Amino acid sequence: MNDFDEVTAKLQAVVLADAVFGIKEEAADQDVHHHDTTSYGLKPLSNESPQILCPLNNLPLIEYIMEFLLFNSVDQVILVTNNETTEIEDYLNHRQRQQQQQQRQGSSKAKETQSNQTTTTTNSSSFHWDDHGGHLELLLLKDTSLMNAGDALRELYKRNWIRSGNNKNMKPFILMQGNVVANLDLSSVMQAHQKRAQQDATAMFTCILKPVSDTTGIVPPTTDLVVGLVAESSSSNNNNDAAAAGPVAVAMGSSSTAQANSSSTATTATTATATVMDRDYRVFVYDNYATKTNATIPCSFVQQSQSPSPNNNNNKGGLTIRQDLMDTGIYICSPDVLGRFEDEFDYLDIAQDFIANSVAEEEEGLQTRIYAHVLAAPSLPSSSLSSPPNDGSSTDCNRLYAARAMDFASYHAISQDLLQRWAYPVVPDSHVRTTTMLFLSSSSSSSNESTEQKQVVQQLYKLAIDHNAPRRLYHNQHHQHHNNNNNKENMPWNSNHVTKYQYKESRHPTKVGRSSICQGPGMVGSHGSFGEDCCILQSVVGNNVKVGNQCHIINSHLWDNVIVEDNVSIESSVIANDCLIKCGAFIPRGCVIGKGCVIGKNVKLKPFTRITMVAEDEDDPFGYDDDFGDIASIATGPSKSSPDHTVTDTALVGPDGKGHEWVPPGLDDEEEQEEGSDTDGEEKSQVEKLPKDAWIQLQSIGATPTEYLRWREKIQVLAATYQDQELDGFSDDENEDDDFGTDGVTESEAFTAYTDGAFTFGEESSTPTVPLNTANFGVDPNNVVGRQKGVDVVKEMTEICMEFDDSVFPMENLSIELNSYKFSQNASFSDCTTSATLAMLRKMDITPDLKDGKLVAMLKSKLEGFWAALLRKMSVGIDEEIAILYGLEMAATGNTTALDKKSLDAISHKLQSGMTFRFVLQTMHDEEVLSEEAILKWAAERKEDKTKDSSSARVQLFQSQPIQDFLEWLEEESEDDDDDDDDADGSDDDSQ
Amino acid sequence: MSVPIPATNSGDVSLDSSTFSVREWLREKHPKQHAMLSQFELQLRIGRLTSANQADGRLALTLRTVEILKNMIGSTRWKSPAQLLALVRVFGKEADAAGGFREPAIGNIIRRVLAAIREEVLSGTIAPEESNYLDTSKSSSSRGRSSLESMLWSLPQHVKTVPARTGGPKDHQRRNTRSESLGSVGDIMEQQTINDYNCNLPPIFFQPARSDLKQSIMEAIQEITSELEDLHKTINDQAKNHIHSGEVILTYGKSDSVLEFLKTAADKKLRFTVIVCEGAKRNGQYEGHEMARLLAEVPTEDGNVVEDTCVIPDSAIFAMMARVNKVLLPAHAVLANGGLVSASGSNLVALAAAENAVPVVCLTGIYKLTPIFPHEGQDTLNDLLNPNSIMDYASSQQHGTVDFVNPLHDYVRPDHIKLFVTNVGSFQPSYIYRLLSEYYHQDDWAPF
Repeated sequence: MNDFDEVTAKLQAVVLADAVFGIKEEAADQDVHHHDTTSYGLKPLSNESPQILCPLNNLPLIEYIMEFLLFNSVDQVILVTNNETTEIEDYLNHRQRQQQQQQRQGSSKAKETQSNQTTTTTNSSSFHWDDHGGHLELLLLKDTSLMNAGDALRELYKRNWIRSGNNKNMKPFILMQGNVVANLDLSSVMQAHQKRAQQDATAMFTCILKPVSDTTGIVPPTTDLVVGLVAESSSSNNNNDAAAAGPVAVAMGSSSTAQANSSSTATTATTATATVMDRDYRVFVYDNYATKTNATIPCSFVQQSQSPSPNNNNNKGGLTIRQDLMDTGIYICSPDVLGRFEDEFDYLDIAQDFIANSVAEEEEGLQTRIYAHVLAAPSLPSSSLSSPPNDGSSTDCNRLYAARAMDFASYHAISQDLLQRWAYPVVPDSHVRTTTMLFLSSSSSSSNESTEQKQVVQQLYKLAIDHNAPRRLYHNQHHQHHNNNNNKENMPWNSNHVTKYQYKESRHPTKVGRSSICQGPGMVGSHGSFGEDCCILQSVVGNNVKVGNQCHIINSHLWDNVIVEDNVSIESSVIANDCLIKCGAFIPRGCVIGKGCVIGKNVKLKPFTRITMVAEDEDDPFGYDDDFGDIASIATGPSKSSPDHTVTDTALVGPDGKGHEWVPPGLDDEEEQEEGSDTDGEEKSQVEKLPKDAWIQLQSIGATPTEYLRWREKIQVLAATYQDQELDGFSDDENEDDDFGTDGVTESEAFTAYTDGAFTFGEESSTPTVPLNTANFGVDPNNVVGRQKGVDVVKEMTEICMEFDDSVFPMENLSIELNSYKFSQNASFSDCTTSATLAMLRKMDITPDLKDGKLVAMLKSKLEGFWAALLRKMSVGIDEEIAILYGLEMAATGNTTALDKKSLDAISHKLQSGMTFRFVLQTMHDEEVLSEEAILKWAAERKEDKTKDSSSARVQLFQSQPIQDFLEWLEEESEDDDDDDDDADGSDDDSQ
Repeated sequence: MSVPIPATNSGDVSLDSSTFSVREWLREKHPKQHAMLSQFELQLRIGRLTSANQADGRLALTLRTVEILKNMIGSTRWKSPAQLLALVRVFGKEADAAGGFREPAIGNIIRRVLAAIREEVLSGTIAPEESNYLDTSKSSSSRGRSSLESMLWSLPQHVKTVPARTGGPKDHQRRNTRSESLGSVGDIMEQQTINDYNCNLPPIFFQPARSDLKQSIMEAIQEITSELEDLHKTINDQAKNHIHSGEVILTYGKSDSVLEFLKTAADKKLRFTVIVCEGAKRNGQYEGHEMARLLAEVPTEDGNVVEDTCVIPDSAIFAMMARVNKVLLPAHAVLANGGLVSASGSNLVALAAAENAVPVVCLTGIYKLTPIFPHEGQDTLNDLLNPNSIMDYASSQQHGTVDFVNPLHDYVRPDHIKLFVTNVGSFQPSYIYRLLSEYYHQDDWAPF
């Protein structure tokens, strides 16, 4: 490997390479309770070949990703894909061979055969990615069973490919989606992340956000990200760091500006260090659901952002709520993130599940802090006459581009941005590319029969210079010879146009007819030919593309080997490899023509048609979604499941055409889906659904979001009226995995506002300040949103605890188990503690004739050995401690289903007898499982109960003399404590 | 057509002239040098090394290139001068492909090294052949082939590459300058492979290298290095000839050469006024502002600053030109026709100066001398940068279809430049082509 990097640990990156990883699929998530956006990615083209190999500006996406990773000196890349074809391997193998043309040909061939052998099942193979000096080790993890990002990360965790390392200085890894194009320099972000992670292990995730404007094409109109940020420069920079950074920075400043007065450099140096941290924030709100115009901000956010940090020197707790940010799909993660995903087995998507939940989650034990880096130019003073040279951030200004090709609209937008050099130096003319091209030896229309020839070609793109005009890049041209052509008289580019950002391959340039116009931003590949009188505007044309005469190609993408005959008009469309567009065809805006399709003579397609040759089910990524509707449709649709012969819809593509329309999956079984999502079925039916066609349109080039926005508005109006009608039953999406075991009053109030009354609070919840936590006790378990019907959570959890061998395994394991169950059933920590208490009692094998002293000793040993730690961990607030009391109470009164009859009888008999319950309480108190506060609160609660119903078993238990004595003693003690605290000095004096 | 290269017996991997084999050769034999090459290339490619991004600029980059070349020549085991040439040439080719074309100085310095190698090889042959005449004749008779070949090579059609026996290296370099210099080097594309290139080499290049050859080449490279290191000093020595008391000097953009030059003049206790044009915004700062600050605030070793410094917006250049005595421009590249590629906006200054008959003086190291003709006009060696520095991405989207263009360089025609002040003396633009043939070998002119 690289000799220079031996000292530092390998930097790893994970690329999630498939559209499905990056995009929330409606069908994939059954718990969706909102009008979800349906994203189709680059389908159907991504069905035909892996999306990561789709060319963007004549270069496969993977090349952009690898160059980005190379730039950030990544050593090892793990490429995760669920694509079952071997195309990615083939590409990598081919590339490898290409690089090492003469040497090692045999070995790479061997590798290829090896990978071919194992493609049927889960497979991983390692490749080398060499690129002009850069070297990457590339591991391919291919598993068709991976459905989403969560699965992928869990698989990685199992395989232990990311070094988790126990050492403190473990490096973070880069996690990115396979559709990202970026030119960022992550080094400073990584450093900041590492620093944070060292101070606080829960700060394990940093996402990169890019400011964009609403009108930007790179953001689909359907994603409305609202982010609440608190400037982190204040709280993460504690005093030590600030002090440490100070002198260093001063030294820096003084070396660069010799003999300048030290005071001025000192102040400016601190601002210089601040600029690095300047753009790092802690994320408190992350809300990226479409179709919502309102975002709810929990109170804790406001509270935390305004609480002045003790280490706060000069920065105020900066609170920002922004909705102009875009998630770039690049994340810096500590290796622990994988473990977090392993814990939370229901996390599917990174953004929607992991970030959103981690941000909302407020439990101390499991908290994951999410940080964000906002890409922005360093804020330099406008007058630089007074500022010292700012060497550190000199490159920053140019490296601010990151975007994701999420659909065709953003694909086109990114393409245009690259052509306009926003991602400099990731520009088409940056370096010589070595590509392999397939040449058809016979240029007949029947492309299948002609033989293919592979040829390695070196390409260098250059900004085109129009030789008809004076040699300036940016100039106005007068094309006099067009004036006699009436057809073009009205075209805006006719009289006077500008050649801007038009790239041409310079080594084997495409021949362009003299009377044709190519105008940028666009690019033209090699080996092709354009006929006469063509207008090719703002289009990216691939290699070996033949265009006939009088064609109009506007705003489009033509991939390699496309043949366009005469008089064809193509507008805002994507034409994939090897397509043939016959004479006079008209392809209006938003169309996508799949690989190898043929559009017949004079065929006029409808706008936003997507045509493919691939039969639907062949490698439909929806097939493995656990959606029953889909499976049903597969079973009932035999016409679809015939992969070997592709259906040609002659009505659509003409009698001489090939291909059929691609129908988005799930279009037929929409009703089934609505039935499936039980909780909001009735609610949904009130709002008219946006047709899937509209979603497709929205994600195509040349779409206008007007219809969508109108629809969204309608939904909001409806939703508002609906909410007014009845507050019950409508829940917001975030609640699904939220945990309600919260600690503060404000927090729960915030959630009350947040959930729009999603929860019916228990009537018995006598402490109105903590409604959510006690709610579970009064509520019929079936009513808890997100819980399976008929599940007794406490019982199940007790079972879990009982099955756990507390003498062998560490407490953390059980905690994780309980926690995951808690999430799956949307239970609370209170449930956990209750059941843990019950299980503990059960495990003690209490018999009615046990002596109190023995019992206490046993309880003590149990608590010390295992359970105290668990209970303490679970008790994030006082309510969980009260829940422990509830558990004890249940056991004592025999009022629980969680234990079997026999042992329950024994336990309750024992606990009710004499002083036992008091001793148990005392022991738990001594072991610091139960705080005085909790016990007293519980007592207060029971006192109130007493007035209502004095005959119930638990009130009797509560009223028994030993308990009352204990409570009395406890109250006194706490008062004593208070007294001691108040006048500690005075008492000292007295004693003397 | 190509002359077969004699087998080199260097194990499995032979060092012939194709890129792949050189890389493989390095990988197998000299992994360290290979890693160095890779690192350099990668950095070039991702733009960490281009002078636009680097604080210490082009000179440092050039020095680094020489350093790597030195290491590569010094510590690899090449067998013959032809192999060495192939090695260096491949280095140039790779660096160029990796983005080095943005930085012509890299290519220039590699050409310098190539010329030095040729010179050393040929100068070495002259002395032994003449002094130890018997020795060479013996060896040639024993092998026969080489002597026949040398006879062939001395035929008129190969005359341009036969070592000149009388005139010494300078003379040999000046051959055939005329025909080639008028040819359009820029048009020669990669079709001219290195094999063609090698077939022009005289046979001496294919013989095993003399034992002292490496040493003498290293010395030649060391000379280049020290020349680069003393660059500013030698240029600044001429300051007194060009800046006089009471003059008003206008300069454009930010440049180390100009800065040092003016500072040296300030050290000479000359009182003159400097007008700095603010130039374009790069990395969030106006280059001119920074330049002015460095001039006026940061003192020289003798404690002098240019007291009379004034910043003007570019829109005021024409208006101010009437009272300017001299324009100082830095260089990105000096072209073969005597034209100048300099920071974007320089042409504006040059045109304004021409209008007012103000002499334009360009300060440049000779390593910026580039054997390229401006066939692409304003686009010669130009690059378009990220529009980020002139427009924020998010706000640019609100401007609809407006394009933002951020060119890096300008081409200034030779007739708008009065003088090039270099570290090897001052030259008029019309003399530049002579310098070219003095510093580079004819066969190395073509782009890599």
